[in-house]
Amino acid sequence: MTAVRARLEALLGSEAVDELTLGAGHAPLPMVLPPGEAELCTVLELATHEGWRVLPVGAGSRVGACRPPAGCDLALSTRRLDAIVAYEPGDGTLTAQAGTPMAHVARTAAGGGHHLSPDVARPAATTLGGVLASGASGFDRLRHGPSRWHVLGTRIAEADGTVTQSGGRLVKNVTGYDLHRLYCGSRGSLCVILEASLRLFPLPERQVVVRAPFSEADAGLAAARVVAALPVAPVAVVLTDRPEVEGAPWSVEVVLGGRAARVAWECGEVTAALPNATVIDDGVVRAAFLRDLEPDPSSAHALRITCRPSKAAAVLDRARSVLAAVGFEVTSLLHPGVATIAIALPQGLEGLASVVEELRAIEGARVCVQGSDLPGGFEPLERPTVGLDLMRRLREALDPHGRFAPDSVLWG
Amino acid sequence: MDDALLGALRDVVGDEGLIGDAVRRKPYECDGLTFHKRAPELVLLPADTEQTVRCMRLLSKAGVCVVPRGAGTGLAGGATPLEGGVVVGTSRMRRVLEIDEVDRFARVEAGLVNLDLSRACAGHGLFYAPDPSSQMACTIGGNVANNSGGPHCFKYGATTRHILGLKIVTPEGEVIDLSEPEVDPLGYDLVGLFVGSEGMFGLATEVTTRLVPLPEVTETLLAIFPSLEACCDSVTEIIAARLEPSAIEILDQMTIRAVEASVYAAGYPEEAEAVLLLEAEGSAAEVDENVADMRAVLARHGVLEERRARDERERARLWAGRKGAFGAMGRIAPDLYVADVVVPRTKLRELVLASTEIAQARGLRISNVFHAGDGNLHPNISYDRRDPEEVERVLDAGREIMKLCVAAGGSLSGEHGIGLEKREEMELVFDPPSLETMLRVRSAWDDGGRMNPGKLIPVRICMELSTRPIAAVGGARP
Ligand SMILES: Cc1cc2nc3c(=O)[nH]c(=O)nc-3n(C[C@H](O)[C@H](O)[C@H](O)COP(=O)(O)OP(=O)(O)OC[C@H]3O[C@@H](n4cnc5c(N)ncnc54)[C@H](O)[C@@H]3O)c2cc1C
Repeated sequence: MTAVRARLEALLGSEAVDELTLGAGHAPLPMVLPPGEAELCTVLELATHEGWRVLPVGAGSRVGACRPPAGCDLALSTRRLDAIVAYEPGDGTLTAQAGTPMAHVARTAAGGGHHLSPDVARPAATTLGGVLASGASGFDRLRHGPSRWHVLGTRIAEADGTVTQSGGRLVKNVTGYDLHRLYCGSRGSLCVILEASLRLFPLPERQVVVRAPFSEADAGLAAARVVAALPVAPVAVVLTDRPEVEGAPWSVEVVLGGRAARVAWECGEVTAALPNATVIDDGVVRAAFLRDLEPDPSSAHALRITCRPSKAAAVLDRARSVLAAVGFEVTSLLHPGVATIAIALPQGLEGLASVVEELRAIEGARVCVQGSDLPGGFEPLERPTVGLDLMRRLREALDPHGRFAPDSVLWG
Repeated sequence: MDDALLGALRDVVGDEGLIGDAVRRKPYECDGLTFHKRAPELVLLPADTEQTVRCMRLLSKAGVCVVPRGAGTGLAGGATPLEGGVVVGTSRMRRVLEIDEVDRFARVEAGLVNLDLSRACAGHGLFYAPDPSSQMACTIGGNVANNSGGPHCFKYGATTRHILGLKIVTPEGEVIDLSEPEVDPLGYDLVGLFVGSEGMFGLATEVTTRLVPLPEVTETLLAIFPSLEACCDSVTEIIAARLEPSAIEILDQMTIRAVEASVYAAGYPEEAEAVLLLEAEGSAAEVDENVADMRAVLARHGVLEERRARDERERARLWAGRKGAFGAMGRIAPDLYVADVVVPRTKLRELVLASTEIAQARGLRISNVFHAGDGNLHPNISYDRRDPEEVERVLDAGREIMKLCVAAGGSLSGEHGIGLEKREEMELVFDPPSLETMLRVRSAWDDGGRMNPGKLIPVRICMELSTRPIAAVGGARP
């Protein structure tokens, strides 16, 4: 047992200490799971006192979405902070602790007729705090926008265990700086998110999926562009050649949701615009199936490429040819409207570093690599090139002694 | 101001970009909040980012405070140079630089007037959704700094949800070019953090905004109510029933009468105690369904009459009344204090009534016109600034209203910002550690505290924590 682990056990009991595995080549970290906010802050105080370095995690499902930081002494999980603090159906807002699984948050909201955005893949295994801290957005991004838009306020623990808040629980509020925007996507490098308040959306009365098969990606993308030009507002538009999706090599799937009359009308518009379209009436199940095709960073390697929507076709084409040239057989999942491309990578990643370099040279493409035991030689996340000094100063402002996620998850 | 510095600044912006004489500096002594005034020592109006950079470098070297300014329509004293220094205005930076109809964004200079952006992209079937009532005058840069709202932000969200990128000039005169519209931020979300920073982090010279498609069908409905309470309750029920109008605005009787007596007359019935202005957008089927559901709610709350705008002209007229409401209040008294608080939407009736009582108990004339759908109240108090005793009562009522709303789970500002006006009340909402964190983040952007000093963060917090208290860097030179 490591000395750190022993100290944590002495502090919170052995049942509050576990281990976080970080993949091949990385020693597992002692992971403390405080039962409440006060205990979590005590751990941070101790870490400050001892000079330990802390990796904040939720359920650990997205640790693979960043390179495991070297030099951490412990992982600090919010998983046991899993209460719904307030759900106000009449106001359409919800506040939950960071460790609450997304599935639980979504179920609570649905109980009062609300939809939780982001609708993330594998919601039972993902926590609210983890989603926000990793900057992930949902399957429903085309309709509702990125996750960071829905956060009304947060309570956080700073490196020394001080608890502070920003924003609030109101749908409209400009009181103070929007520090929660800084915390969303900060990947555990600034603070531990303890609690977040979100704006909710009406639960769709009806949801259907219109799908159409294509033999080529280009034709599918052209069809997606036709849908984008229609006066409809889909929840999601997906283009994929993932083998789990039955039928032709490529499939365009348009998820429509909302009031029944609206869905019926939109369904008519989309069906008329797509050749050989079929309608799947149980859109809720189909949408969840499509949502969960998103590669799981804790078990698989994947590329996540973003670009402007107008460049999606060119970027996809170029990326696939770069990957084909080195013999990678890949499948893709695209959200053309939000210009996000997920490419599942095969096992065995010889030469990945040079592939990533080539992909990053594609004009307008931002390339991230996900996976829990990535080979070295490249940065998994796109390194910011603008505002880096300011980002460092912000980090110093929040975490003056660099206690969190050292060798920064953000920029190597 | 030191002659050498003045000369160097003139070399950068030319005579047309520099206002030195006392008479022409006077309009810059405050914004729409006229309680606090102080003329700046100089006004600079750079023509582009490059000139802004050069000005900011000179001002930085000289240690001079900078107050960014758009159109000066702010209502919280945000653009008021209370600590002196130089106002840097964006009124000569008004170009639309790019409209991309495929990727649906626009890149504009920060001094562009809000309405001019929607006008510029209407031909592409797109518009810029945030529509403050001041949109004929206020600038996109000012909107960014205040994270401004507007009636249609009920559906589309406030400014922050529409800003994809920024070009920021730092207090030291460096450029942080984040104008490329990224799907997700690279590194920290500096753009999201900058929005709502009230001119205290830097000066935005360019803004990349999202554009949204013009709706296929828009229907505007005016619902006339026998009481303000019933009007509020119908909004609370519309929200609770999760109906999806694009805007929900309430005007009370005093506002209706002022509007009807003004150039903004919209045909609101003067005998009504309150009217509700509702809008629904989308496909015809969707709008029909939404309007039918909303009408059922209105009926349950005893609506007296509903009027549907039959064409674009009628629609524009109904909105002109709402958007001109603050201006129209000039008929009641020379001055108007526009309070801006936000409350949970389940408590509209209770807090509108309680705010009214607070004002009336102090012998003040209060009217209400507000973004009801977002719980954003504007209890407006008409007064005469020449009467110092009345001014005191107005300020006291404003503070009481803020306290009441915060105690009920609300907050200090829904859209106008904190500025000078609500700076000390920040302690009602945030504890000292939270305010200290804001101050530290502010220092990360502006170590010297020269950008728009004296705003947003309570003086006590600045005095206790800042290594260089604001008072020490105020004025032209430390
Ligand atoms: C009649 C009337 C109606 C209004 N209605 C609404 C409404 O419906 N919704 C609403 O939200 N507000 C409303 N307002 C308030 C005001 O119009 C908004 O706050 C607006 O965004 C201010 O824009 P401006 O260009 O006038 O900015 P200014 O008042 O000049 O400045 C506002 C703040 O922004 C900073 N700033 C300005 N430009 C920049 C820049 N380029 N970079 C960095 N900081 C900058 C200033 O320092 C200041 O702190 C109304 C005001 C009036 C007078």
